[in-house]
Amino acid sequence: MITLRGLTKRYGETLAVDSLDLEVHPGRVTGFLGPNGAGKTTTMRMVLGLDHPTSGQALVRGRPYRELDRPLHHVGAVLDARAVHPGRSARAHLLSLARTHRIPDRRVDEVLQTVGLSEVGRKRAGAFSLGMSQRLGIAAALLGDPDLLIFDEPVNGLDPDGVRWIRDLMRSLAEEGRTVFVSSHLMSEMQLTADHLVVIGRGRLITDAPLAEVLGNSAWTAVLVRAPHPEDLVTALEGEGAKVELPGPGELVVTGVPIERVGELAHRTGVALHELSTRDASLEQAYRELTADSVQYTTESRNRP
Amino acid sequence: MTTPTRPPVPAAPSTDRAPGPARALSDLAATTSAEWVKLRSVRSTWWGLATALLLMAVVAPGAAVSVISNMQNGLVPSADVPASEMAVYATMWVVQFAVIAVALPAVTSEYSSRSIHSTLQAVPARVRMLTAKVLSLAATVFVATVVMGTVGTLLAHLVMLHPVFEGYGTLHPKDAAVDVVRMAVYLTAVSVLTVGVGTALRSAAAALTTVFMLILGLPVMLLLMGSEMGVHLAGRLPFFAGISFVDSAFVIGSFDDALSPPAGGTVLVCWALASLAVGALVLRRRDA
Repeated sequence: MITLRGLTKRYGETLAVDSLDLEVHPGRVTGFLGPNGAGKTTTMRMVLGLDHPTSGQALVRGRPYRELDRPLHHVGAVLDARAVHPGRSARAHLLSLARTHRIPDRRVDEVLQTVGLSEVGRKRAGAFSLGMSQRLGIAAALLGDPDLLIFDEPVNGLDPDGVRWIRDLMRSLAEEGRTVFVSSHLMSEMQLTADHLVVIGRGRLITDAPLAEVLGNSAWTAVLVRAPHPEDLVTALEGEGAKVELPGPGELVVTGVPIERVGELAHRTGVALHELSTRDASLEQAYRELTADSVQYTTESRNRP
Repeated sequence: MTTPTRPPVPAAPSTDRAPGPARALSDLAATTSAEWVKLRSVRSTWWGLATALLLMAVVAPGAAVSVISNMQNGLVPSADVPASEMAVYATMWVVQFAVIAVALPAVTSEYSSRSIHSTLQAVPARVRMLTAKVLSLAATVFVATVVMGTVGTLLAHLVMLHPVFEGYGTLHPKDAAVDVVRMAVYLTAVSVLTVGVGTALRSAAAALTTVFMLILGLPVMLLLMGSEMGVHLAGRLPFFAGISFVDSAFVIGSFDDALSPPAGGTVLVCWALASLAVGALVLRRRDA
């Protein structure tokens, strides 16, 4: 649904997006992760035709956004929920968008109801809370019943109910077979929502893989062992190519072999175990490992030339 | 909290329409209707038009009183005072600035509120969006200013019926109608010029300053400097071209090197279109 080919955006000396190649597929939620300034929003703006790529292409359904016929029927996007004229009512805002595509007025009332804003549809959007603004943005995105949805940091500043509502909405949209492309810096949120992850740092692609794979590859997916005399087990594990760390006396952190194999080796070497468990990586940790080299605004980076 | 169940929706069209003039025209009509919704759904439009009407209602009869008093006191030679030309006077000196305040936010508020993002997502054909904006605004301004011109003319006429001012005022329906239409055309051209500048500069403050300098500051400065070339140039700027076009000696008196009414109208339209062309160029090129 979204195809990026060598997508590049340069602002003066800064490369905001650096030859990004990517395909975003339907029927799943693709999480778009990266540290602040990684180029997530710029990428999304180029997909929507708001910014011009310096080189490369951002295609939707194989075409640049500008060439889409009746784009709201193909793409719905929320980049910045506050980007509504504060003096215009929510309904008038949606009505103006609907008129561009000859979408009937009743559809405006439908989407207002879907997002729970029917009661305040005639209130000025400037008086809306951030949560209500997010809902209005989502109403606008759903207006044309598009099969591709793009959300930039949709849960920013929302209360827990709002977060859950958006999470459920994104999941149900993907289950309907739509393409959902959502950026976030909240790893925990992505772990609950996304099926597939695209991680970028400094405008470059770092990872494009299913969520499970990103988590599985992480050094943080490990087997924890506690044993009073683990020496023989350590030898056996290292013989199998596992990496063993000893954070404390009688404690092992084993990576590179599944937990079943650790148990078998302990049995064979006759090492008594006090604990044998897995430590699952959280996306947070996997993400930190992935982006460690590409975080742009750390304290250390000030010392860089 | 509502559940994210979605009501049945109209199926999105699966096939693209064939490109061509019919589709382009249909899209332009739809976009113009959308821009009209935007224009009518903010209070600033109605406040601006109400202010313009109020200024017209005060200044047109006020000008009549002033002109006739000057004639009665022998400060200026006596002459017929057509009521519609008092409305023209109000248009050129006062009302146009309220109309600029209606036209400017139609585009600059899109940038200050960043709603330009959703606007361009719905209409990625940027020139079409701008054309639709101009069409909806121009139609609104034209209709509203025809009403204003009529109101100003009638109020000026009423004042001049008073015994104190009797004997000067005239009201020839045909001439008055021509004057009212010319006023409306001038104000429509100014609003289009404003949209062009606003689209090019995006910031309301920068655009307002530029429009004000172009319409009033620059020509008045050139005229006061008095050099032959400066006066010639001033006559071709939008304000004096407009004064030539509305063809009323009451606005500023006659000045050397003035254009004929048709030439003034042509120059005025060229200014509006040039400003729009610059706006369209920036809109297409720059990131939104």
